[in-house]
Amino acid sequence: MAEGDTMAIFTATSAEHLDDASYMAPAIDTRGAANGHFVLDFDDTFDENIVFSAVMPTRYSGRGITLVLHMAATTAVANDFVMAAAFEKISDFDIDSSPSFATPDQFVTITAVANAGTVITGNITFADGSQMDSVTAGDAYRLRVHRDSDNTYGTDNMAGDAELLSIEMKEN
Amino acid sequence: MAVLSDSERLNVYSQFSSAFSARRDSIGTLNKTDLHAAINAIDQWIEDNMASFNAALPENVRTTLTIKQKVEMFKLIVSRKWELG
Repeated sequence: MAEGDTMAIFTATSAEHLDDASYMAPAIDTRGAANGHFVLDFDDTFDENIVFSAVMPTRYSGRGITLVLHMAATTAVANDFVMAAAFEKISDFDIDSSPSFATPDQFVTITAVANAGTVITGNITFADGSQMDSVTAGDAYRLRVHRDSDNTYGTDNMAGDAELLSIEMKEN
Repeated sequence: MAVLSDSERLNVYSQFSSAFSARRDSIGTLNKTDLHAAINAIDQWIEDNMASFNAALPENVRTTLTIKQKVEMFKLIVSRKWELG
């Protein structure tokens, strides 16, 4: 049984930038000089994308996946931001080809809390199969995460950056 | 001069947002819509008061400098005032 098991953990420093002019990437930053937490700053105006590469563990039993995003707001103490994600199966894929992430992205709306630095979580849920680009145990894959600043999936009205600290990927 | 296009106003908003995010300035509970409205209002106010601005200049300057040169002067003064806080 792999229900609820952690399948991967991604942090700001394990992020990769897509070498593609159509994608803008968030800046990596530290949350204040005093504590040095690395975060990825997602802009509030134009969508910015980041990618994580991994291999699905052999213990993965083929259920859906939940991403638990650990986030903070840079300055805002209210309002919502929308984070979206998509899988791209790499196994059996020509890596010289253009990115082929599953569509549409899955997403979550997260509300900023009273203290901008407080870490909050939001879950993005994927069904197994096409939503995960049919990634199965042992497959290499990439996970693309972006802030939906242009409101493609939801209403992102929070002014200022959204900061991503880490992502836990769990089997449903 | 005319008011900025929607895309230019968006670029101004993006610069402002990046700046206050980098400084970690508080913006309270204001959201993106509030700040966009402020930028629109400021842009429109500048346009509405351009004639008044021009009229305030000494006559020889008003008739000699181009509008771009006058606005450059205005921009430098506002920028310096902002730096001095």
